[in-house]
Amino acid sequence: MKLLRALKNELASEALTWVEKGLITKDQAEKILRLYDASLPTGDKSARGYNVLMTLAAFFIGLAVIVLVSANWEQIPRTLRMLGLISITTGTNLMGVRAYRGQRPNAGKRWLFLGSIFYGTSIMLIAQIYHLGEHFPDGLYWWMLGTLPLAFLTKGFILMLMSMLLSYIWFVVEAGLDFMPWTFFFVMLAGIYYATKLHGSILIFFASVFGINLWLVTLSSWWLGRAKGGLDASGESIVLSTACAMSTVIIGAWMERRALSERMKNYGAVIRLWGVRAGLILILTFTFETSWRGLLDPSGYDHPFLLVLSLVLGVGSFIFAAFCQLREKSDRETIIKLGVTGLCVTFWGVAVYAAGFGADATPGAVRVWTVLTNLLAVVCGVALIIEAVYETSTAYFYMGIAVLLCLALFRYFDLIGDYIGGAILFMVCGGILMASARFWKKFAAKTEEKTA
Amino acid sequence: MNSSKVVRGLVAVVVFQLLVLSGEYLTSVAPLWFGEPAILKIRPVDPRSLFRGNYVALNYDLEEVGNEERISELKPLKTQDILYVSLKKKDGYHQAGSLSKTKPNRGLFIRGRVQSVGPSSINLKYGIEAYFAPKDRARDIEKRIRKSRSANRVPTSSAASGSEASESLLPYARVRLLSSGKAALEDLQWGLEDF
Repeated sequence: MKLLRALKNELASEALTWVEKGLITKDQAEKILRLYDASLPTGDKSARGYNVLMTLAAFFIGLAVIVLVSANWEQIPRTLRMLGLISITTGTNLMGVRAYRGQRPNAGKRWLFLGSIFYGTSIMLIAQIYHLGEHFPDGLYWWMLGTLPLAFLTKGFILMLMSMLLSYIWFVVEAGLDFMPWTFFFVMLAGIYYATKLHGSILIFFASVFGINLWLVTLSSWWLGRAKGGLDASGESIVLSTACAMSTVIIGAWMERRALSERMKNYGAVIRLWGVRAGLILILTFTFETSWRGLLDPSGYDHPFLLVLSLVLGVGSFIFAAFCQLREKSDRETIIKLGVTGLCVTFWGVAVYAAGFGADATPGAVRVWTVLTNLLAVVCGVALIIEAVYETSTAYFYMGIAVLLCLALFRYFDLIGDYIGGAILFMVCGGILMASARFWKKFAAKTEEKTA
Repeated sequence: MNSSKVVRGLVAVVVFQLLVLSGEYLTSVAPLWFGEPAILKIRPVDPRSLFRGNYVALNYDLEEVGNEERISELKPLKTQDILYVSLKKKDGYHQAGSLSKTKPNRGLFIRGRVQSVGPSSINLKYGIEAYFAPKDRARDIEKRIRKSRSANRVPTSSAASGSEASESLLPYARVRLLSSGKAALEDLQWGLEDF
C-alpha cells in the first residue's frame, strides 16, 4: 500500500475523469478506489468549499471570543460576564442540536464546533474572574471531556481534531507540572476507535498511536519518580521510547500485510513509513560523537529493569515479526530485507546493553560507536534504494538518497578523527556503496536468468 | 445510531457542559460566600498565560514554610502531597504557624500542595497564585509593587512622605478560607489600614 492519504483525493478525481471519458465504468472506478480506501467524489464541490470556509469562520469567531475574554473587561459585572458566556455556549450548542433535528448535519457540526470553543472559553472565564490559580490544566481536561462525546455522536472530523489537540495540550501541560496524565491513554484509544470504526482519518489514527507511545514512556517516568512524587524522565525513558516505536512499526507492518480492511492496511503503511523515517533520523542523530557521549554516560542509568524491558520489547517484537514473515515467505529478497532490519535492531540492542550495563564512555569507545553508526547509516541508505527499485516505492528511494546525502553533508562539516580519519570514513562509505552496486547488479542478473 | 438517539445524546452533552461550568462556578464562589477572611503578604511578578489572559503571579511569604526539624518529622513527603498551614495574625496580617499533614481541629488554616522539599523549608502552592487583570492594570500593579518594594528598602523617614507614602504601601492579598482549608483570592490591597 504505497498510495498515501495525500494522493487519494487526486486518484479519486482522476478516476472520475476516466469514467467521464468512458475509459472505465463507474463500477470499475469504485472497485479500484476501494483498494485504496477511497471513493468517487460525490456532491457539489462548492458545498464542500462552503463547509470548509464556514468551519474556519466559526474557528475565527471562537478565537475572537477568547481574545475578548482574555482582555478581562472589568466594566461589566463579573456575574453578568459569566452568565453571558454560559448563555452563548448553551445557545450555540442548542442551535447545533436544532440543525441536527432538522436533518442539516453539516450546519449542526459547525454550530457544535463553535459551541465547543465557547464552552472552553467559559471555563477559562470563570477561572479568570475568580482568580483560580490551582492546577489550570484541569480546565483543558474538562474542555476536552465536553468536546469528545460531540465528536463521537456527530462523527465530525473537526470536533475530533479539536478533542485530540486539547488532549495533547492537556497531556503536555499536566506532565510538565509533574502529574501523570492517566486518562490520556483512554482518549487515545477513543481516537483509534473513531478512526477505525466511525470516520476514516490517518491523522487521527496516527496521532492516537503516537499518543499511546508517549503515554507509555511517561508512565515509565512516573514509575521512576513515584518515590519522591512527580515524573522522573531519565535515559531509560528515552531507550524505552525507541523500543515502543520499534514495536509500533512492527505492528504497522503486520497490519499492512494482514489486516482485513483496506483502511487498516493503509494505516499500517503510514505507521511503517513514518517509523522507518523516525528510525533513520535516530541513526543520523547518532552519527555524531556528542550523541554517543550522552548515551554512554553511566550516570544516566539507575534502573536496569527498564533497560531489560526495552530490550525484550524491541528485540522480541523483531524476532516475532521475522519468524512470522519467514513462515510466510522465505525467498532471498525477504532474507536480505530482514537481514538489514535485524542488523539495525541488533546494533540498537548492543548499544542499549553497552550504555546501561558497564558502559565504556572513554573517547576511544565513543569514536568506535560513532564510526559504526555512520557505516550503519550507509547500509540503511543502500538497502532503502534497492528496496525502492524492487518495490517501485518512490518514498523509500528518496529516503535512501536523503540519508546518504545527509550523512555526506554531516561528515563534511563534522569530521570524525580529523582530516585523515574523515577521509578514511568517506573511502569506506564509498567502498560499501560500490560493493552494494556490484552485488545488486549480479543479484539482478541472476534473478532475470531464473525468470527467463 | 439513529437520528433521535444522536439528538438525545447531543442534549445530554450540552447538559454535561452546563454541569461542568456550574460546578466550576460553585466551587469558585463557595469560599467567597462561606469562607473566613484572612490577609496574606505577597511578592508578585507579571507573566501572561496563553489560555487565561494577563495576570499578576503572586508569590506569598507563606510559600516557604517549615524548618529542618519539622520537615524530618513530616517525612516521607512527595511533591503534590497536601499539607495544612495554620495561620496566626501578627503585625496586622496572617503568618504561617504550625505545619501538619492532617487537618487542624481548630483555628484558621490554609491547604497547600507540596512543590518541592528542601533541607530547611518546603515550597507550597495554595491555588491563589494568579490575579487576573487587563494588560495595562496588570502592568500598573507590577510597577507599583516594585516601587513599594524599593521604597521599603530605604529608611522609613525618607520614604514615607506625602504621595510617596501611599506608593510605598506593601501589597497584600485578601483571601477567604473554607473550613476545609481551600482558599479563594478576593482581591489585592495596599497596606493594612482597611483590613
